[in-house]
Amino acid sequence: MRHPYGTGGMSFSISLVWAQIFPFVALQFYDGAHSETLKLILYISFVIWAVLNLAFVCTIDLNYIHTFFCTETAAQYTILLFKNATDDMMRFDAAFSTRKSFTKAIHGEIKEWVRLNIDRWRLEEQDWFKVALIYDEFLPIEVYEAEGGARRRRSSMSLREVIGLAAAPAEENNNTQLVTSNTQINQNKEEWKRVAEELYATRSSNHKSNFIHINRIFDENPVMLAGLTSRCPKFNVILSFCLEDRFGLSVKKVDWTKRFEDWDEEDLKRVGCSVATFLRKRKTGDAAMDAWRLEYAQLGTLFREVEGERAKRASLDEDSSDESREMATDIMATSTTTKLTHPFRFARSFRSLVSLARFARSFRSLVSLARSFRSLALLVLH
Amino acid sequence: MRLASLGAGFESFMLLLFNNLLRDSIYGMVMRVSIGAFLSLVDAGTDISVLISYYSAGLTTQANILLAMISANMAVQILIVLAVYAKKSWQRKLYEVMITLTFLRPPVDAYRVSTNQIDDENAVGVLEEMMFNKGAELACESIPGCILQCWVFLENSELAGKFAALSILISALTTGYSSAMISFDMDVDLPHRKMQPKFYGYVPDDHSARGRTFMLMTAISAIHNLSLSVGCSLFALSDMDLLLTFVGGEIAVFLAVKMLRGDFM
Repeated sequence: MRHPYGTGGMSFSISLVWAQIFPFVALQFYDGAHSETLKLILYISFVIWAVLNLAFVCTIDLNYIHTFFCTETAAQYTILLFKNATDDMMRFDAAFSTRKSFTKAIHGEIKEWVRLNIDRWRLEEQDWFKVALIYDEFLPIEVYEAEGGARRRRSSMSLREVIGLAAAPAEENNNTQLVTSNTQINQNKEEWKRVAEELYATRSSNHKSNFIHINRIFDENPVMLAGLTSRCPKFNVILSFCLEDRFGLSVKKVDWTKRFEDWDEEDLKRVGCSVATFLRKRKTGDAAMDAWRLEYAQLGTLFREVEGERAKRASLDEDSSDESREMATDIMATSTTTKLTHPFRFARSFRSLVSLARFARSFRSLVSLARSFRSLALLVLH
Repeated sequence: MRLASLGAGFESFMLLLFNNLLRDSIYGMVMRVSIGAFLSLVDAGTDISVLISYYSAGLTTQANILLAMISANMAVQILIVLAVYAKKSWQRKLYEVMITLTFLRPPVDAYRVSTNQIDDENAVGVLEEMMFNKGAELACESIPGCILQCWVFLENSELAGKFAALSILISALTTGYSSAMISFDMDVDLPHRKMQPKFYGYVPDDHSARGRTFMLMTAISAIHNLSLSVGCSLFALSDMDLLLTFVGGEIAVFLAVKMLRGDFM
């Protein structure tokens, strides 16, 4: 209901407040024996509700507080989604997974965008690209005819299946250097995966036993793991706890200003054991891994990727909203020491101030909203 | 070169470990499924217990209404199952219907969502399926059931007994848990956050804050449900026409808002 496809944030919030006023209004018409007791219970319930809401506002990510008060319509929201999309996948989803009428105002723009990109999408064969979802009038005439023209059926079949073509070879990359570089990276990845498989095969529920096996495997692959062991010399200890089959109940903090070298056994244990909790709480391995990486900012240096891949990952990052943590990761990644430089300190302080101001503004709005409703309730009661 | 590519290789390395750990860990879904199953069974248990107590106290009409709500919930959930598994065999459909009839739908859905099961033959994904089932449960049984129980409790508190109050609280809590779970799952869902990053993401990424948010959402939803239920019961006790006026008015306002926003165009 909060979503613009429902009734929007503002209507949603008003309905929440109305739900609290509703029983007080009803009580005015009730003349049963328990009316005084009920009144007391309702007051207590209202106070608890208000406190819980305040705690909720203080807990959530305040960058999204506007979604509880937004008045955008479904059409406005969809158009914004399309215009602000950072990649084709998001834009495609905004244009073709919603009602056609929502994007009526930008149909021309969508048509042009499809015309300019459809050939590339067909070559790339991305998972998100389903030609069957594109409305007939948005397709260039040749694709429309290849699809079956007037008899075209908007189904889940892909264009290739419809026109009976084998997978077209991707466009040749003329940049030999880039191809070589990509091949090297892929080979490197495969090597890492092989070591991971080997490690996992020897895993047990005892971290001490894990530690012995990890050390053996690390010793067998000294060249490949040199980068890892030089950056985080005690990563084998962390891994030994990661691989334990255990029930993770909580995630314990580790001082984010501490360098890898300064992590003591307790810190290493905390980082390793937290994996079980993240895996329990998240639905996918990559979401759990991202949460783990973001929880312990120091791990960011290990995950630092080559430029292009980092950009691709950013769009897939479930936890991208946590800007402060992300910033901390970046700071750790770009700095050889864990000490913050002055500009970063300033940026951080400024962000805190902005958040504080935002919170104060939201809180003031809430207070004025509460006052308005109190006046309304008093008016109704009298 | 080695240092530059450490991230890419290391990420593959860690991802493989995380995926394997997730695949083999039995704890991944234990908490969620256990709580879902526990609340579902407790709710079913209290509903049946209240039903029996109504019949034994001579509140036959109220008992029949409650029975009708439970039956309506089952019927709607069976229809949802038949629609979602339309392309599946009759054995599979029967299996899914049996899950619904044995009150095991909530834990099974929670298990499937937790393990991120994907079946392209199904009409909708597991998250949507769970949402529809929860929605049916909330609309047909939990919310109207809570209103009915509040009404009976306020009207015949001696006949209904103290257990009825406990049952109301459990119903409200179950409703709160279901609503919170729907909202929470919608917000933390990876495709949702990926496609609509400006809207989904209010649940923080910090581990403890996540848990706190979920608990607060459950409590707020439970109180919300309880307030509305008490309000409706009070109206029903004073004047049934007033109740219909207020509820009808709310629906009218809702439709008016939808019309003003151009949602029916």
